[in-house]
Amino acid sequence: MKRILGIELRRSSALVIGLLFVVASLAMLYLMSGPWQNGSAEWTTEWTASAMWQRYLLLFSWPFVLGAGAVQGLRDHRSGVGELMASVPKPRWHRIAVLCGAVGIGLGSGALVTFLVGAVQVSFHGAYFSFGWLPILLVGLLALVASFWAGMAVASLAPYLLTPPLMTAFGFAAVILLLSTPGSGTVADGAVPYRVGLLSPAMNGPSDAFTTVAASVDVGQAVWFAGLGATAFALLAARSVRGRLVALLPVLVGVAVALPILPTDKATAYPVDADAAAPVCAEGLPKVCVTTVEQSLLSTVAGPGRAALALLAKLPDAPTSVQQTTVHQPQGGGVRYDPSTVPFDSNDYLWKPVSGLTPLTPEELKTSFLAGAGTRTCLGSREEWDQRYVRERAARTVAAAWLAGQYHPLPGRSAQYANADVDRLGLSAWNALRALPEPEQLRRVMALRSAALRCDGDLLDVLASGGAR
Amino acid sequence: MRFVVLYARSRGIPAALAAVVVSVAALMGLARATDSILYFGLIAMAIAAGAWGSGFAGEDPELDRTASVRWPVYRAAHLLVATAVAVGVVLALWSTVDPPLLPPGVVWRDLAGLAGLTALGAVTIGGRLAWAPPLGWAAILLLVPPDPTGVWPVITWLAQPEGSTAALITAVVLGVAGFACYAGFGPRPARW
Repeated sequence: MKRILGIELRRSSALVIGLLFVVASLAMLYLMSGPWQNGSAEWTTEWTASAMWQRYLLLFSWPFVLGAGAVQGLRDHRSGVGELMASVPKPRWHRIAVLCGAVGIGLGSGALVTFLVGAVQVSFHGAYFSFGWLPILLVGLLALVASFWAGMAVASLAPYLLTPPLMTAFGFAAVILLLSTPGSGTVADGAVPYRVGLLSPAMNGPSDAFTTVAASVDVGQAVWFAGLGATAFALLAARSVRGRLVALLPVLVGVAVALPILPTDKATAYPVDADAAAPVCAEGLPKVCVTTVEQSLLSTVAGPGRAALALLAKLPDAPTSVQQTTVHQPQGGGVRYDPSTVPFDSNDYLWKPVSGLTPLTPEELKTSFLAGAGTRTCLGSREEWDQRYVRERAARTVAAAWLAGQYHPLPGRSAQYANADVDRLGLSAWNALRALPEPEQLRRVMALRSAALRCDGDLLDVLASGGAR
Repeated sequence: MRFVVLYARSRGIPAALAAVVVSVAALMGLARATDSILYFGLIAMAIAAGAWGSGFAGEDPELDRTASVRWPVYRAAHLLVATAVAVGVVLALWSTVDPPLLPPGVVWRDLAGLAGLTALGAVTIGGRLAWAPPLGWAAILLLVPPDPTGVWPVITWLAQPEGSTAALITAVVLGVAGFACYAGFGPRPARW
């Protein structure tokens, strides 16, 4: 058995497929520019994110795994050994099991090597460690091997030269369709119910370092791919029509069991990892806290955060701490948060430079905490090209200027072209505010702060009128 | 005539034609149902070019070579006709609806390049795997958005707008190289 496994490893496409998988995946990860290398959770910096990005990459490689399985499945037909093998007094499934094992070893080691390349870099990066990546990786391996077997099974039933390209093309169609779930942000947003979309072997990459994959997603996907693999194996081993019909049962059962397990919305499927997001605070008071995964930010944030809190103290009901938030602003904006904290989202355009190449200066960081008198923006990231964005940013800049006593443009690398507009509006509002008597200035800034906390109304109007209420 | 019929049959041309028509139509149905026109369009064009790949090599290329037939002429004609049919099918299905899902200029450019890639595949890795290069290049576009700067118009040539010079040059280079190599050298003999 062992000897035959060795022969199959050499004579089947197993090792070639494994090698191709590694080369193609690493070529994508290193040579192409994609979200896996410029987000706040890169495939080389965080454990869970690394595993999730490699699952994202299956969008590209999974259809070829199906097609490669089909190419492998054509082998027996090409060499015309069906009758010869049937005459051997040995159950058919013995031979199939060895071949399936060989391709499983080849493809599985390919996927493992790809993950290891990321994992070694992550470990040198000194990232926060948890075992969150393990189920993501294991389900990915199961999905790859089961899909390869499924390709082999289909090709053995339909032994035509056109089977591999057609399976690949329709594999692409399937994965594009499955990722078009509600809220996916793709063009076909909402074409497929969320839980059906989770049957896809590929998943969307994480938007931050503390996003993880819910256990229900791992279990549901594992059940479905185990069913697929069992059906593929049984189809390959079956010798009669009845056997083939029975072989379809596992995949049907797998889908039937998996669908009720899979969550119905993104927040449940990709929750915040509580341990990774647990706050880590700088020593002493006032409190300045970041999430555990982004601990390295703490030394950068602590000084400017405290300086900003000291300036904010002149407001009544002033916030008393600076905290990194794990809730990102949705497209429509309007996230609620505790008004006694100054929240910051490391995913905001403002914060990208902190983990990027050009770090913000302490002075710029302080200005960003003072923006909007210590409040969050109410606009989602997709609204940066909007006039509302320009007006909100101008008002937030003025509030920061009033607290600091000096006008500084807010830091942030995106929408540079809008900065001139922002400063034009901001400077005139700043001069108008400074012309008012001192108590009125405070009242206007407080009106702006409470409007910003409620995400209600145009902040620049509030600043100019002192708020209708 | 008899030669043409026998040639077409030996190269699986009817099956490839059926596969192209059915899959391009099915992918168009999906594209219209989901509004995901770019992705399904790329896959449709890649399969429209790649499906002919297995026919670019006969059952036994080494045996073919021993015949006193002017193969380069037939190979050239085969590739050109296959490309034209692929363009015709995609244009008929994707560009006749109003507004056209894929502009005709893009279809011509992309299919010329993809057919060249398929032919290069037949020359280098054999007819049975010749579908992989066009589908592989199309798959890159699923992960990398089309970018007009630097070297990216060459890598993302499939999804560049109609007026892109770099994309056009890439398509022409791939098309001409595929045509010349396939007509000149012929397919790689199958090893398995």
